[in-house]
Amino acid sequence: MAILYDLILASIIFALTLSLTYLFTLALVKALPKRGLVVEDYHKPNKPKVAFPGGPAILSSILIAELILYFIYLDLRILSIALVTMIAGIIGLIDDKWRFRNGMIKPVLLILASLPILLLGVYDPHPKFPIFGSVRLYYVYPILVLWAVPIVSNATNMLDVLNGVLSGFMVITTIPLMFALILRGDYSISMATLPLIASSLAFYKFHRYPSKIFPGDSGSLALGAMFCTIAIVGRVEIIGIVSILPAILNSFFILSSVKRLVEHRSIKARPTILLPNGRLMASKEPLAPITLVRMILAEGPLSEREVVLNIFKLSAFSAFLAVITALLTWWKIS
Amino acid sequence: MRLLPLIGIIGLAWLLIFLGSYIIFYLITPINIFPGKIDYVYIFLNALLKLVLSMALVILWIMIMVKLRNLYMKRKLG
Repeated sequence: MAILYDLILASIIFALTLSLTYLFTLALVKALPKRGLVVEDYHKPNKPKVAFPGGPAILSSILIAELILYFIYLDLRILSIALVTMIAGIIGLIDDKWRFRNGMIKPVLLILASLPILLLGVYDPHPKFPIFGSVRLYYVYPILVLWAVPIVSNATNMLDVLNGVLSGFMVITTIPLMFALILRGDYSISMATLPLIASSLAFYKFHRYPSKIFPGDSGSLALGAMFCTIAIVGRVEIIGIVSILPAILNSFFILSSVKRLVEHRSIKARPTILLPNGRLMASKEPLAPITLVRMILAEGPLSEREVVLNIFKLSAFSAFLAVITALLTWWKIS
Repeated sequence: MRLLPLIGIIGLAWLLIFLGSYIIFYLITPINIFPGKIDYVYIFLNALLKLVLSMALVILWIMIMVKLRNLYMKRKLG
């Protein structure tokens, strides 16, 4: 009976978030261009104007779903997921509106977003590794929490460069997280993970090639922060790290090639070149940042759609490794 | 075939995360170079040594990743 109740609740939450994000995004696709809130899509020859930012649609639908779940389960961990997502989304919204010039401001502000996890005391400083089990990180863990939210949300933000990449990537990488939570038997946080998948999926409908709307920093930071918080409060940190490896490596490769913390908008040398036939080519400029997209294109030019598909394949591989990690961590042969 | 080297980099990063964590938590953490000493100076020095060793391992992970990336870009873009 309890399983049936959980399945019905899960279906309602999934359907609610999916339809709310769909309706809110549809409204934004129509309303934003009328207010002049559009940006150029750099990776198309005719540089079409695309509605921006779609983050408020993602943020509001996720918050509604998480608050409903909080009042059902009265679990502070769900409240912390809602609060962290909200703060990161608001920081992103400020950036979408006024653009932080200094590359340091956003990561520093995002430290604030991680505070609800610490203040509500919803973390456990004993992360569990596959094969060798739990480790004690009593003093170090809170410091890692403070850094994790800025790192993960910036990583998802830096991956948001092509049509549909971010929303599709979030769907693929969150599935192993959900799998690990079910394997652990943590049903309330599994339920709280559903809005992330549903919202990303509904947004993908408008974000995929050719994009009708971009999520902006409000969308990318909120999704990244939510993913990170679920991994922390659900005690599936290692699964989260493995699943999101393509985004982490992408931001690590960018930062280590430009050798400073920088806003990706302010990087002058572009990593890719748009060819007259609409295909993308890797830049041979030595000072251009080394991004995941540039690495994929290093083999030869591809269309934007093909690059996105390749990123999804890499994400699927990471997700597969994350599932193996989850099985090695929690699966018991009886 | 285009993705094979990148899949290799991600796979290696995954393996190195586990190998690194095993070395940190099971080989470095139990280190006690001053057995029997309970003075705070010795405890601090011991903790400092473990921190330095762990940091060295993290730096090694970063260096391996950077080397792999540079090797990949050099081979593909010249």
